[in-house]
Amino acid sequence: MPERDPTLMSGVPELVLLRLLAQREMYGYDIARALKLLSHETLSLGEGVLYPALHALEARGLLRSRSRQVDGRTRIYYQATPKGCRRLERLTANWRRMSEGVERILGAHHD
Amino acid sequence: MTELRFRALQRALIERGIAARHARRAAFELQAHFEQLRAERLERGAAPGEAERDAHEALGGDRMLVERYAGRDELKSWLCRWPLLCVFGPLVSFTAASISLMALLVVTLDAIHLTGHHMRVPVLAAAAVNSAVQVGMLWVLPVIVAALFGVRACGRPIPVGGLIGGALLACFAARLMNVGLMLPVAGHRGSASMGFRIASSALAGELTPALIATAVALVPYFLLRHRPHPVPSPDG
Repeated sequence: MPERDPTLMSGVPELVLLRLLAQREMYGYDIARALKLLSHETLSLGEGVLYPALHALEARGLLRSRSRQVDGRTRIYYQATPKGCRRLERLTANWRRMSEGVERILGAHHD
Repeated sequence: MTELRFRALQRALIERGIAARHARRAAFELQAHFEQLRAERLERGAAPGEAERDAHEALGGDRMLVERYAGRDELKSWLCRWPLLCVFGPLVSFTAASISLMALLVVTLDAIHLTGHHMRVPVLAAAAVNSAVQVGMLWVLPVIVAALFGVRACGRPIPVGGLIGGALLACFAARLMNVGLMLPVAGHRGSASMGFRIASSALAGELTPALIATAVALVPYFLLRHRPHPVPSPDG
């Protein structure tokens, strides 16, 4: 597994969680698996990051949750709210601008 | 053993100031997550003991989980986010409740007068009602308000000094207050009154009853502060 640098991860959990949950509602374990799968295991939020982040996003009104019975088990599903979707648009634009800038710097040749 | 771990985790979260509903849900979701990790490992052919150990490791240590939650201010209980509420909350709540109750009494008396109902209340009964209102508003109400703040603070990282100070402020303010309710008797329309009197000569004398009321108000806090919080099972 590639080395993870926490200083580069600031703001990433919020962005990726909103992105996943803007598409469909998911529960914690499902989200953890989807993140690993979609990022080809380069991105994996530990449960210690995932659940506090989900709860904090909900407390800020960016996600809503509901409990559902699936196969006799109660699961808490999360989904992005309209406010969360607007926040996602802003975060995505910021992220793209920043990563383009970093790419330019990394690709630049210095004499 | 698994349930004990999540029960202890929930308690640790509350002790670090996380709101009870977030702590309950964290324990519930992490336990459900743990069950799925264990089932995944069992499906892969791991022995039950090994699957359980691996699932615990994958979930991470309790200390790390608690620290992650504690780093999120929005998940903390309002008393932990704004500790000064412990000091001034009881006084403000008591004052607001007193004014609301008094407004309700005034409106009720006016309504009785406007509808033309002439109550025939014996003088002794009217005096008893007046005494009951005084006891209720000047003794019971501040004690209940301060006790509610104490119960909310149970098991949380809130300085006891702040709680005692807050309860004392509310109970002392009640000692400086006076209320009266005169029911409509013998042709009198009836009235409700409320006021504060601050006389330097009476301040010291009011301190002892205020301290007694404070002690009574904080009894539930001292009885309940170590009470364990139940954890629901992932199956609901």
